[in-house]
Amino acid sequence: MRATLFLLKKIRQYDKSMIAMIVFFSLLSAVYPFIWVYVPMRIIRLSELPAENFSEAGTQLTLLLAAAAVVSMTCAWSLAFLRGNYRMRMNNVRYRLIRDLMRYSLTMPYENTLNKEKLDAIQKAREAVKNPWNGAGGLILTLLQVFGTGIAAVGFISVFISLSFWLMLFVAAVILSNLFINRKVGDLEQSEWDGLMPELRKLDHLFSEQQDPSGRKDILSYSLYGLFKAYIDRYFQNIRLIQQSVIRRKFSWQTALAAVDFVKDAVLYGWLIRLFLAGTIDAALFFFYGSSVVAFVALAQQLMADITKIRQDARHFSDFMALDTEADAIASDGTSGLILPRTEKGVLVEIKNVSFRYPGTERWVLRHLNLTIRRGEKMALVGENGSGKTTLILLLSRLYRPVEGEILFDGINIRELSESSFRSNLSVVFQDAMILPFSIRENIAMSPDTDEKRLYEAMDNASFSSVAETCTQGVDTTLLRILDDNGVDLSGGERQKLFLARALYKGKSRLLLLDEPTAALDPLAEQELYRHYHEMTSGQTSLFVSHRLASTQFCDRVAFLSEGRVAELGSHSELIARDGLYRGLYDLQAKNYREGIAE
Amino acid sequence: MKHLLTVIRMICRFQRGYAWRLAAASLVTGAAPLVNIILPRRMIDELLGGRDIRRLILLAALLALGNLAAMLLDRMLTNRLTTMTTLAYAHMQQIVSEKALRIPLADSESKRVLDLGERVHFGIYSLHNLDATVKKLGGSAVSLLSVIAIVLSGSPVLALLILALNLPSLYCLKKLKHLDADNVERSASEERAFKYYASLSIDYRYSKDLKLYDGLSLMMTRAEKNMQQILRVNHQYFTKSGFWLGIIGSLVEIQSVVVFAFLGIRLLLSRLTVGAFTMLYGASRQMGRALNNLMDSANELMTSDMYLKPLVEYLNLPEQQDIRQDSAEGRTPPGTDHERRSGAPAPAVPFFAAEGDDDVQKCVREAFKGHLEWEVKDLSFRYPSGHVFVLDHCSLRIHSGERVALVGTNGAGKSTLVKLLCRYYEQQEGVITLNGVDIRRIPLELYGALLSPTFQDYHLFPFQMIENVAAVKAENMSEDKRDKAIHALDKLGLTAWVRSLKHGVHTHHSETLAEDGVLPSGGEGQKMALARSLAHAGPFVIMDEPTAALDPRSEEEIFRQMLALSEQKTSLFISHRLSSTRYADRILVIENGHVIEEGSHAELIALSGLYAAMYRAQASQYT
Repeated sequence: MRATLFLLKKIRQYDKSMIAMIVFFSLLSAVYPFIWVYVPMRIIRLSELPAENFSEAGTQLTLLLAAAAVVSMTCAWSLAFLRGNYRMRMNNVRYRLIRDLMRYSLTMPYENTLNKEKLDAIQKAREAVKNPWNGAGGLILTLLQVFGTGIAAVGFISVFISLSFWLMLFVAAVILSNLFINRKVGDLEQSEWDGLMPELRKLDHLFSEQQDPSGRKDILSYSLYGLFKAYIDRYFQNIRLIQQSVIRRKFSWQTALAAVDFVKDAVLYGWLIRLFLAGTIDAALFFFYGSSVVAFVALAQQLMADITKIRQDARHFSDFMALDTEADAIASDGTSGLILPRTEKGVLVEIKNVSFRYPGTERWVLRHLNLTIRRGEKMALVGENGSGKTTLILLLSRLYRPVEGEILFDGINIRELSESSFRSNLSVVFQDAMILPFSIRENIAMSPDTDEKRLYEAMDNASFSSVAETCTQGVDTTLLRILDDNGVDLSGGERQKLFLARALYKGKSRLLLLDEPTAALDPLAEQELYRHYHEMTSGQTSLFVSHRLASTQFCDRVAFLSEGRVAELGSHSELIARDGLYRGLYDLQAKNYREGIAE
Repeated sequence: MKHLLTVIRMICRFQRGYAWRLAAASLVTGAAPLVNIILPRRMIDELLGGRDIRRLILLAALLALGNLAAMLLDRMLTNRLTTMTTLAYAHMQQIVSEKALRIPLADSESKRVLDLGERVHFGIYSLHNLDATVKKLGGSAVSLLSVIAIVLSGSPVLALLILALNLPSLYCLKKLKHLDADNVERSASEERAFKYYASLSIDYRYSKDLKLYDGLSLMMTRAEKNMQQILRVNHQYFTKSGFWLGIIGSLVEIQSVVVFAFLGIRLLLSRLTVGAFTMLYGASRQMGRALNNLMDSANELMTSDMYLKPLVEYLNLPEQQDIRQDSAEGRTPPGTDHERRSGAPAPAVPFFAAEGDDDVQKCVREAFKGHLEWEVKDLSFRYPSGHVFVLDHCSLRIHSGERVALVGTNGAGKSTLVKLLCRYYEQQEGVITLNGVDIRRIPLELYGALLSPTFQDYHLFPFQMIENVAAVKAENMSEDKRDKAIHALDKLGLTAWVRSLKHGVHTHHSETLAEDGVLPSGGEGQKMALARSLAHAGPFVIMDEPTAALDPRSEEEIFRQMLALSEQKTSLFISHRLSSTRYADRILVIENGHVIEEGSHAELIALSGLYAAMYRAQASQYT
C-alpha cells in the first residue's frame, strides 16, 4: 500500500496528467461492459411489444442504437487511446526512476560498495524498475484499469441483488472459490518463478559473458566454450526439473477451478430456466442475466488478477522505495562541512593510528598506521602486493572510512570537510581507473565543459598530446566503440597517460595521489614522467605508489609498508643504508639491470 | 514472415511437440466460444417454444460440460506451451551467444554489431508471448470460419456486411505496423545507450573517478539527453499508435451497432426468433472479435517478424571460421539425446577432419611436436575505426625453440601484433606463416591448442578455480587434466591461497554462480591466468605484460616461472621492464608498426639505438 502511494506521488511529480487519465479511464471502463449487455435486452423487450406498436418500436430501436453508437464509440476510442498514451507515460516515469537510481548509485558513499546488502538492495531496486511489465511498470499499468473494473463489478453486483439475494450469494461463493483457487495457482506460479529466476539469471550471466567482447580472447584461446556449455546444460536441466515439479500440481488446481465453473454454469442456467418457467423473468431478462453473469465472472476474475498483480508489483517496487528515500538524504548533504583554507603550498597530511579491515573479514589490512606527509613533500609508498597501499589511497581519498584512528588534512579531520572543499583539494590517479565512452576531452575534464588552455597543458604534461594527435578528430574523438562506431580504444600505456592528464587538468588541487601510474608505461615515457615530476607537482603534496622502486629516488622520502604498517621510513639512501626490507626488494629489482649493464 | 518461420523452425527443432501443441491449443481456443453461442439459442427457443424440461436440462448440462472440457484442454496445452516458451527463450539466447563467439572480434566490438545485438535482444524478448500470439491467430482463424458458417446460415447479407465493416481496420493495422517499424528503428540505439549508462552507474570501478573528478554532471547530462531523446520518440509513437488503435476499437463498435440495427429490425418484423437473434448477435460479435484478433495477431506476428529480423541477420553475420565442432553441435541446444554427449570432455589433442590439406596437417603435426617456425611477412593492420596503420609492413621471424622479447614504446604496435598472432583480428595486408603455412588455413580450434597466451587484461570466469585453470567442468575432468591444473597452481605458488578458500580448488570465482564465490586480488588473478596458460600447455607461449601489476618479489617469482614455462618452447613475451629482456635469445624492437632493431641484449646495447636508450633510461634509476 505504501509502495503504491509512493509511486502515485512519483507519478504526480513526473507527470500529473496520468492521474487525470486514470480517473477518466476508470469512468469509461466502468460503463463500457454494460452497453452490449443492456442493448440486446432492450431490443428483445421491444420485440415483445404488440405488433401494432411497430413504428414506435422502430423509433425506439433507432434511438437506442444511436445512443449506443455514441457511447460505445466514445468509450472504445478513448480507452484505446488512453491505454497507449498512458503506457508511454508509464515508460517515461520508469525511465526517470532509472535515472534517479543512476544518480543514487553514483552519489552514494563509495564505501557502500563494500556492503553486500547495499549492493543487493540496489540490484533489487534496479529489477523493480527494469522492465515495463513488472515492478513499477506493472504497478502503473494495472492502476489504470483496476478502478474501472472494480466499479463495473459493483454495478453487476447491484443488478444481481435486484434479482435474487440467493443468486447473489451463489455468485459470491463462485467468485470466492475462484479467488481461492486462483491464489493457489498464483502461489504455485510464483514459487515456480522464484525457483526459475536464479537459474535464468545465471544463464543470463553466462550468455552475456560469452557475448562480451572483452572476455572473448580468453574463451577462444583456452577453448572455454565446453566449460560454458556444461554449466549451461546443467542450468537448463534445473529449469526443466522445476517446471515439471510445478506443472502437475498446477493442473490439479486448474481442474478444480474448471469444476467450480461447471457447477456455476449448471446452477445458473438451471436457476434461470426455473425462473422463466415460473414466469418471474421474460426472455429479455433471461438473456440479460445470463450474459451479465458471464460478463461479471470475467470482470471479477480480471479484478482479482489485477489486485494480485498490484500486490505483487507493489512488493516488488518497495525495493526501490527503500533506496530512494535515502537518496534524498544524500542529495541534501553536499556542501555542508568545514572548508580547507587555500594556500599555495600542499596539504599537510597526518595519518594517526589508522586501522582498517574490510567488512566481514578478520584480517587487518592496515593496523595502527601512523604517517605524516609534510607540506609539499613528495613521498613514495612502496611495499608488496597486499601490504595495504591501495587501501591507504582509498582512505586518503575518503572513499573508505578508517575503522579506527583518523586522517587529518592541515589539522582538520577529513571527515569534517565539506564534499566540495575536499574534492577541490585532491587529485588521484587510481590503479584501476576506467575510460568512459565519451570524447577524449570529456574523459580528461570529466565535465561537459572544458577549459581549452588547461586541457592542452594537462595533455602535454602527461605526454598524452601525441596520442590525441593520432586520432582523427583530436580531442573530440570518442573513446571506445560502445556508443560510437568511430570510437578509438587506447592501449594500457595510453590510458595511464590519459588518467594522469585527468589528474593534472584538475590543476588547483593541493594533494596528488598516484597509484601505480607507470605500470604500463614504456621506459622512455616512464623516465619522462620522473624527470618532470617535480615541476609537475610543484605546490602539491604528493604520494606516489609504485612497484618500480627506482621511482622512489626522486621522492623526498619513502614509506615502506608491510603488514599494514609503516615498516621503514626515510629517504632512498637512508633506507638503502639501513639494509632492511626496502633494501632487499630494491636489490632484487636492481640486480638484473646491474648485470645487464655489466654485460 | 520468413524470419518468424525460421525462428519457429529453430524452436521446434529443440522443443519437440511445440508445433502440434500450438495447433491443438488454437483449435480449442477457436472452438470454445461456439458452445456459448449455439446452446443458449437452443435454450431460449426451447423456453419460448416447447418448454420441455428434460431437453432444457440436457442443453444446460451440455453447455456446462462443453465449457469444462474446453477449459481443461486449454489449460493442459497452455501449461506445457508456457514452459516450452520459457525454455525456447533461453535457448535462443544460447544460440545467439554461441554465435557471438564465432563473430570476428573486430566486428563484435563495433557499434554496428553491438547495436544489432541490442535489437537481437528485443527480438528474443518478443518470443516471450509467441505462443500466446500464435494461439490467438490460430484460434481466431478457427473461430472465424465456424462463426462465419453460423452467420451465413442465418443471413448471408449479414456476413458480407461484417466483412465489409472490417476492411478499414486493415488500413489502420498497416499504419500501426509502419509506426512499430519506425519506432524500433529509431529507439534501439538510444535505448542501448541508456541501458549502458544505467549499467555504468552500478559498475563501481567507474565511481571512484566519477566522484573525485565531479564526473556526476557529465554522466547525468549524457544520460538525461539520451533519455529525453527516447521520451520524444516514445511520445510520437504512442500518440500516433493510440489514435489508430482507437479507430480500430471504434470500428468494432460501429459494427455492433450495424449488426443490431440489422438483427433488431428483423426481430421486430418477426423474421427471427429471439433465440436466433441472440445467437446471430453472439455470432456476429464473435465474428467481429475473431476478425479483429486475426488481424491483430497477424499484425503482432508481423511485428515479431520484424523484431526477429535482426536476430536472423545476427545469426547470418560472417563468421571467423568454423570455430569448433562442438559449437556446431550446440546449435541444437540440449534437447534430449545429446545431453550426455555434450558433457564429455573434448579430446586432449584434437585430430583432423579429413578435409585438411596435407601441408596444413603436416605443419600442425610438427607444431605439436614442438617445431614452430614463425614468419611475419609485410604485415599491415589498422583497427576498423582507426586511420593510422598500427602495424605497417611489419616483418619478423621467430625460430623454433627461441625465446623472443618484443620491446617498444607505448602504441608502437606490440600488443596488436600479438592479437594478430592469436588471430583475434585479421590483417589487411601481409601474411603470418607457421612452418610455412598461412595461419589462416589452420582450423581455429587446432590453432588455439597451439597457443598459450597470457594478457594483462586477462578474464577469469565465474566457474570453479580449478575449472578456470583446466578449462573443463570438474565432474568431467580427467585425472590427468586435474593433476596438470593442480600442478600449475602449485607452480605459480597459489596452492596455499587456494587451500585457504572455503571449498579449496572447487571454490567459485566471483559470486555470480555461487554465493560463496571469491574474487581473487589482482596478483592472485594474474597468477591464476598464468596457471591457466601453463595447464593449457600450448607449444607456443605468448605473454603480454603479465607482471605489470605485481610487486618486485612476485614479479621476480613469476618471471622465473615464465622462464621455466617457456623452457624448450618457442615463446614471445612483451615487457616494459627491460631487466627481463636480457634472458631472451633475441630481442625485437618495434617502432611505428615495424621492427627497427633486432638482436641479443648485448648486441642491441652495443648498437646504441632505441633499445639501448630505453634500457639505460630504466637502468639508470637503479645505479
